[in-house]
Amino acid sequence: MRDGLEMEKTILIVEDDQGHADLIRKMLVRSGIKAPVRHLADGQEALDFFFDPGPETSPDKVAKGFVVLLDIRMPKVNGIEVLDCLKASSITRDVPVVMVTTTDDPTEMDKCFALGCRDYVQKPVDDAKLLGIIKELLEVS
Amino acid sequence: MASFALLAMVGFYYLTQSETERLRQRYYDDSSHIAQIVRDQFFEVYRDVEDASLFISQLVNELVRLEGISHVEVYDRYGRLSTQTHMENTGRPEDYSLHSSYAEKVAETGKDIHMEHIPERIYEVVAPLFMAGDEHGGKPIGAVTIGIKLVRKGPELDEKAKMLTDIIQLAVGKSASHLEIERLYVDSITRRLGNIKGLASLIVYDNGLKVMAHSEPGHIGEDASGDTVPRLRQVLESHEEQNVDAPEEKTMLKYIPIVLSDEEGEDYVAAVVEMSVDLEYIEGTVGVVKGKMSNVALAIICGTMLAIWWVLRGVVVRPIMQMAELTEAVARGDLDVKVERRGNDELGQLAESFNKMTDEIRDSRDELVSARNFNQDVLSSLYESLVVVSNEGHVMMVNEAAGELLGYTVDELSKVHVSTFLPVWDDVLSEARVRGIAVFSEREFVTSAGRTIPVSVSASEMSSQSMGEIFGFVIVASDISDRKRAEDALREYTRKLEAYTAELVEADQKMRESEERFRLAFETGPDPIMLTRMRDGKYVDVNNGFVEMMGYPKEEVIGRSSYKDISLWPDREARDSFLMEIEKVGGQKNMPMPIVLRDGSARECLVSVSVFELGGEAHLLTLIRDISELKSAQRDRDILNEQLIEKNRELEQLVYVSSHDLRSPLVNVHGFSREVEMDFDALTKLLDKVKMSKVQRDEIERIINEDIPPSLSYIKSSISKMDQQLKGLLKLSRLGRTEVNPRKLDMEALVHDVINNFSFRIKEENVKVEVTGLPACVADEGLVFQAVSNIVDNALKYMEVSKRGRITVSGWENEDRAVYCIRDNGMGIRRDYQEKVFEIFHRLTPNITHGEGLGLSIVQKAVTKTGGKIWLESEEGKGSRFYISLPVAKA
Repeated sequence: MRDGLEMEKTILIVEDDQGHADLIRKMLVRSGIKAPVRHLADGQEALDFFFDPGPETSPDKVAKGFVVLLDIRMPKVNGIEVLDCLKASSITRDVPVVMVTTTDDPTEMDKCFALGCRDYVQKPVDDAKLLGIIKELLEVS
Repeated sequence: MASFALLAMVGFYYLTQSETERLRQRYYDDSSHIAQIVRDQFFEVYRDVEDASLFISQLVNELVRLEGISHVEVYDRYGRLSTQTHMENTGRPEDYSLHSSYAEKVAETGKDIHMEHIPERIYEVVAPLFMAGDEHGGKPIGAVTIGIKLVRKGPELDEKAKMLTDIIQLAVGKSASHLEIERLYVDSITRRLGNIKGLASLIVYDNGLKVMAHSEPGHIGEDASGDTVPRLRQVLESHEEQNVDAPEEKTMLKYIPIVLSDEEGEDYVAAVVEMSVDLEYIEGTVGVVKGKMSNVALAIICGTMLAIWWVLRGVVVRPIMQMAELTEAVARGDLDVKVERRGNDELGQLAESFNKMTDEIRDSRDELVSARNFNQDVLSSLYESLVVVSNEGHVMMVNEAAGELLGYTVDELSKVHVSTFLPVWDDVLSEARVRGIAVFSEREFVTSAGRTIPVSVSASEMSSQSMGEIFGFVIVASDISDRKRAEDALREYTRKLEAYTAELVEADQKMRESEERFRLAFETGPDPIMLTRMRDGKYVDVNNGFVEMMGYPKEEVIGRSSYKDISLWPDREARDSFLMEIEKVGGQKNMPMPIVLRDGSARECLVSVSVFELGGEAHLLTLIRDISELKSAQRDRDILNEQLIEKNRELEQLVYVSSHDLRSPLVNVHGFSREVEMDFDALTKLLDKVKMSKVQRDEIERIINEDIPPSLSYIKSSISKMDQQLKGLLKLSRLGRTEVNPRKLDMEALVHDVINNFSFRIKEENVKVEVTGLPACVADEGLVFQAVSNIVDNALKYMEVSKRGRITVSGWENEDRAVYCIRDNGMGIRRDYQEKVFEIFHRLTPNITHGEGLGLSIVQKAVTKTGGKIWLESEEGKGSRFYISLPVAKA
């Protein structure tokens, strides 16, 4: 049933750069992660996804159903704003968020941690590191 | 016998007759002599008096030239005007009838009288005149009236009056003293001469026919009266001595003129001496054998003689003979002889008469002798030096005053030639010979010690009236040193006054110049200046700068009010508060204030105001400086500055954004090149299982092993390099946006932290690191950490491989800065590159590829951002020293 639990969680890649998203997807496939992967093209799509819930994102499913890989620099709504919204809502508060970003600005990093992200990974991504983080988050029930 | 007796009688008669005549003649001679002495004395005195008067008169007319004096008058102690300012000089009021009595009162009390003549605007001071040196306590010898032009009444007027009075007192007083001494002297001579027996009276009249001196007290100042007036007039006119017999008054009068020369050399009679000789006295003495009384006596003698001859004949021969002998003795001048009286007969009576006669003759002679002695006394007591010289100039007689003045005894002086003490004697005597009298106001005497003394000298011929020949000259001299000194003193005072006046003139000139300068500054100054009355804001004057800037013509402004008519202030409140401030503190300096021009536009100005008094009213001097251009320049600058800051921010944003945006594709290049690499590995493995010819396999293997891997490697290293550079740019732009948080930094701890971060590399490269006592500073910790890290990083990076690396960090305080030095013994930097090391992306060693190439740019930015400075000293091959100075931490 361990697998079943794993299966329940979807990896959400919030990333405006299609290439970056593809690279992560390839890396996940290559490493044998079976979890469904979904790509959202910017922050607005991410907010719409969570706060305009459909059958996928009913409140009871949300908290335990997603691992979010969140880029920061995106058009419309940026990653930090998305993180802020997610952490501000009681429904999405517990969704684990990993920042995956080109930014290495310590102040931004500090800000993300302060808002409640689980981890912070710089691009170009260290595959092993990101994989370790994702696996860990997928295993937590 | 009888004939003898008769002969004796006749002889006696003639004897007595001739002796009597002789005596009488001598008496007249002597009185003439006295008259001569009197004349000489008075002459000298009068000349001095006249000189002194003339001097005072000149003085008075000089004084009136002094600024502010309208007139000066000098009065004697009886209130008689003696000298006054020439009428053409005077500004003296007409009604002066009271002056004489004022002067008399002042001379009496010794106290000033001050008067003001309002219509004439004259302030008058009547001040007492004292003998020189006698100002305190002595009785005044006269009074002086000083008229001062009344400009403004006040303490300075009294001061001026006091000063002028002092000067005149000093100048006039000195001369007046001299004059007074002379007058006293005249008085005393007159009194003393008046005591001579036979002189009934001695009176000195001035040429105004007033009594100047009198042998009896209490007549001074009286007018001549009765018959005297025509007699005096005659003497004044003729300059001749007059003898008047006045038998009814039993006197003979002698009028002796005192003749002086005026400035033009014209002779005039200054005074007339009236000598009244008592005829009764003379006749009582000498007239035994003359006149009515002497005729009776003669008849008696003759009758008696005849009777004796007839009655006694031979019996009386002896006494007669004795009498004849005695008569002869008397004729010889022996007046002490006495006829022996025998009985009360005629002969006895005759003897008694004879004895009486001789007694009287003796008395008369004694009287004459005493008169002579008196003459001698007069000479001795003369204040002036009197020298009698022969025609050849040999001194015949001198008085004590001459000896004293010249420093000889009378005896010594009596033996010298006049040239010994009077070098110009020849001129003096020649003049006296020609004119009968020579007068020189200023000549020199030479004393026995060789000193020269200024003297006034007169010489007059000396002739015997009886003999009618000139037998010498009488030289009278008086020491005029005092007068000279008084003149000098006056000259000195005049000089001082002139200097004072000159100073005043100069001060006035300076004032004028300063006014002129002020006027120039006022008129030509480019900034507007206005002068207004504080009370009502009335424009008194404005300069050209005002006219130009404000746009009001001068004539439109002056006389109008800056409060009501032409206001430069934007509103009433601004003006009122400004004025209130001025009233409170007395002025304003560079007060920013909008000023409204005539066309209604306003200008930014700095206004300075000073308050001062003009004609007793408070006025404002306002200076306006138009700073609108300055202000607009300032505004432009501020705008530019803001724009610059904005641009900088934009630039930093641009760097930030672009480095981010550039990194995104780079991430793709990086990621997908890895994908390609992995795909290539998979492909290589697959190829092993594919069958192909050897040639094909060799070709493929060559591509796989030799072509693709280096290409991939190039791609990877380029990506890495680009990534580093973008990271560096990000870091740099981040520094620009970082907030600076200065606080006290323990530099020693901070440097140790930095060293610790590099401990791995330090150990690996065997670098020796030393940190010596570093002072604390005030700076942002993060920025300083960044800077020091980068420098240490650089030092490690550019170590010389051939020697053991060494890094030394030291520090010290320099005034208010803490200076740190990070020194290495690495490769060093070429001198011509030292300036460039702080430039962005400047890399000195292109072959060393690691690092973003921004290390020192970041160091500089970090240090500058936290208020520090960085510079370096370096020598190629020896190492570098980086210096950082920061504000020192105050203990």
